[in-house]
Amino acid sequence: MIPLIVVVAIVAVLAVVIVSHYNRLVRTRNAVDNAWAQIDVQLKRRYDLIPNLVETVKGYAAHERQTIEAVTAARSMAINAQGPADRAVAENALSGALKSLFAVAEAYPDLKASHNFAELQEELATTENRIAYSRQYYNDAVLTYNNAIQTVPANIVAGMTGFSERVYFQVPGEELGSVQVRF
Amino acid sequence: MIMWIAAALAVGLWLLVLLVLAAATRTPEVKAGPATEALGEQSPAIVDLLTGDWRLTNEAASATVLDLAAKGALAIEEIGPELSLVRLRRDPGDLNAYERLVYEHVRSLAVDGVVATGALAEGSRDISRWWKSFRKKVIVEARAQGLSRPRWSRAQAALLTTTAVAVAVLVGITAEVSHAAANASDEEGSPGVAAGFFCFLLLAGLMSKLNGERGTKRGAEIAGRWLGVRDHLAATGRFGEQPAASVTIWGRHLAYAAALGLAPRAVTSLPITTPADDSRAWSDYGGMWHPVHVRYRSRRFWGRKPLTMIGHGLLAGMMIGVWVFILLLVATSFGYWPDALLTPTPVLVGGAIAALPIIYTIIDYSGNTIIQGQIVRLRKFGESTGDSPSNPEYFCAVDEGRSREVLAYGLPSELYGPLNEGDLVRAVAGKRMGWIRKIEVLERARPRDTAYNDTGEHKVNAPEHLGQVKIFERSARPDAPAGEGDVRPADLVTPADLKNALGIDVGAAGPYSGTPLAPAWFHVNSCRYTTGSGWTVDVHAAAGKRSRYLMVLGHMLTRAEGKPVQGVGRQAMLYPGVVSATTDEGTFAINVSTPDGPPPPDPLIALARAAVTRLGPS
Repeated sequence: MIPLIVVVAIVAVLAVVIVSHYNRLVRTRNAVDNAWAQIDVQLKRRYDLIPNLVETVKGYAAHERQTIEAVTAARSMAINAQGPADRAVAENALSGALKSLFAVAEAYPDLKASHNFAELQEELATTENRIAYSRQYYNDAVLTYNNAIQTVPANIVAGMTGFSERVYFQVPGEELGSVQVRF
Repeated sequence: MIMWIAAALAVGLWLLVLLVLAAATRTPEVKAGPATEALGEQSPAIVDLLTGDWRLTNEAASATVLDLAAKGALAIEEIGPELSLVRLRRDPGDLNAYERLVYEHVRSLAVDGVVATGALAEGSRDISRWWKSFRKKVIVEARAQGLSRPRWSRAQAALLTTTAVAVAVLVGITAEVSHAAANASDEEGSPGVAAGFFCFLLLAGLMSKLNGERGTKRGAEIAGRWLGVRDHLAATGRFGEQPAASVTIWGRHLAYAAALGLAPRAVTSLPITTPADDSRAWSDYGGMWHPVHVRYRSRRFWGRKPLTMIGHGLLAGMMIGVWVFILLLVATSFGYWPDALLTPTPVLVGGAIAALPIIYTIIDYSGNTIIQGQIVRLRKFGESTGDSPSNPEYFCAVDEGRSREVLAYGLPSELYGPLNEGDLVRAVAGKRMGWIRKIEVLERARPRDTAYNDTGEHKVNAPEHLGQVKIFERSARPDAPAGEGDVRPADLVTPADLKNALGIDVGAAGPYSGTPLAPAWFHVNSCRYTTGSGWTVDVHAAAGKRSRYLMVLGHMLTRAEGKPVQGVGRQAMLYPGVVSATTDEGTFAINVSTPDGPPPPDPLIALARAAVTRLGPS
């Protein structure tokens, strides 16, 4: 009888530990998903601003077709990118294309003086800043999650229940550490 | 006996007058109006005052942030459940004094125009002073709108005070006469004075207790209308769970809901009147606000001076060794422990305990661990209270940008003193003992909280102590010859010093035209340097022991807690924009004002060092 009670007690303790760790892992994974959704919102906001920007630039500098097309193509690529790694590369390309566009705008005083263009520029800079904060928030969530699934004994529960490591949303190259766009 | 009855009657009469006046000056009854969604013209902070029985609550400041967001001066954006941002949007234009105070606080913390909502508690501002200033400004506004008034008018206060004095005198005389009658030959003490004094204190305390802000008839009507708004918002708004960022949707309704106590989640997420947490800090190291968890290790040796810990270790080793020896002696006498090990065992145990801090110290001093980053927390624990001895421990946590969790290291008071939260530093520390041996400030913190005047008219309208009362101007000419034992301020700080320390070009010292906050008995010489770009440097100096009054000038001007500066004169104190120092010859205070707020501490300390050498021996 006593051995049976001991076995049942051990099993019960194990079950409590496993359930507790599993629930914690679910919470941290949901936090990562939530943070990714926040990034998604901000990125979509940026995609929505770009057509207006392109139209405004066309109105003043229609023959800068190559630059404008590069921005449009980069936007399409970014919209179709899947997962943090691909997204990061595509976003970097889009940021580069936008920089070129704003560099072109420097040569058109009328465009620079346009109220609409200035507002879009400011709105885009604000969105970039929000993306930077969202990225930081997401990466913090991923760090917490990855730490949770790699540390003992949660890694055993994670292995049994299919929790896998998540990828950071890193900005390639020189933009590391930069938080805002300055045009 | 008759005199005691007369005194009791006088006290009773005075209490009756007090009660009559208290009843006459009550806030008119506030009757909640019908539920309505129409907001009035009062700001949320005023509404908080009116609906809180004329007592301002902490929700008022958070509601003001929300109101500024609703009006477009700020934007509140939610990035995640635990991260929201406050973004400066545009020039807010004309703001009330308290709205400006809140806006400037947000602005002073913002990096690239953004501050995390959680970081609103950051900065080293004196939160008590800030809150008093905010409260005062709201009350001034409420009084200007005819909604609020002080309970006692001047006439009522004068009446109560003079009659309280008369009653106290009567009680004093009664006590004296009774004492004299009972103990004719006893000449010990004078109970009359004490009785009169305590009686006056009691009555004045009662009078003061009943004083406070009260509502006017119009105020009560407006408050009733706002209670109607509260009923409507409570019934329809579901504001309790709304985050601060939902102000984008709800607009000013959320701000008023916060002021009316209906939006606790939004208020909690804007901790503008909450002291910064010891363990959870917000850091802007790297250019973006992020939370950092600060750990104060509870390990026995962590954060303590190595030499002290070696001493403690030796003492502990000796004490434990003695106890082990006694125990083993008993065990040996009963044959449980071999005689041969009676002495070696306690020596071994005690030696092991004593050796631990020594080994840790050797490890720490054999290699240099460099910590470089931004100071996120400076804390002093274990300050003396009352009669207990003071043995504070100083801790400094540095965000190196590598982890969201940082350790707080101990450091000596002389290193702690000149540091500020936000400073970029490089420190040499021991990883075993957690003790900072050397710390170098690479870049001073940008002024997070002193770039704006957070007292404003508060200082003028509500002097908090008698020393703050303006007396009169007694400014000596800066070029006047110094009298015997006199100090010329222009000799202490020269244009060349200002060029070297602050990089500003000034002409010869001019007369000081302000009114120094000094009592009548204090003789001070002052001069002023100015630049075309708006800088002003005031130098006040005085000789003799009384001159030490200047050591508190910085506090009176800034209302900030000063930091002692080691190695400058006998004693030196540093405040935002003000440094003062004293030597055996006298004392001086240097006050530097710039259009961008107070300058960093280092140039001020450099100025003080130069002035000390000229003032004389310390």
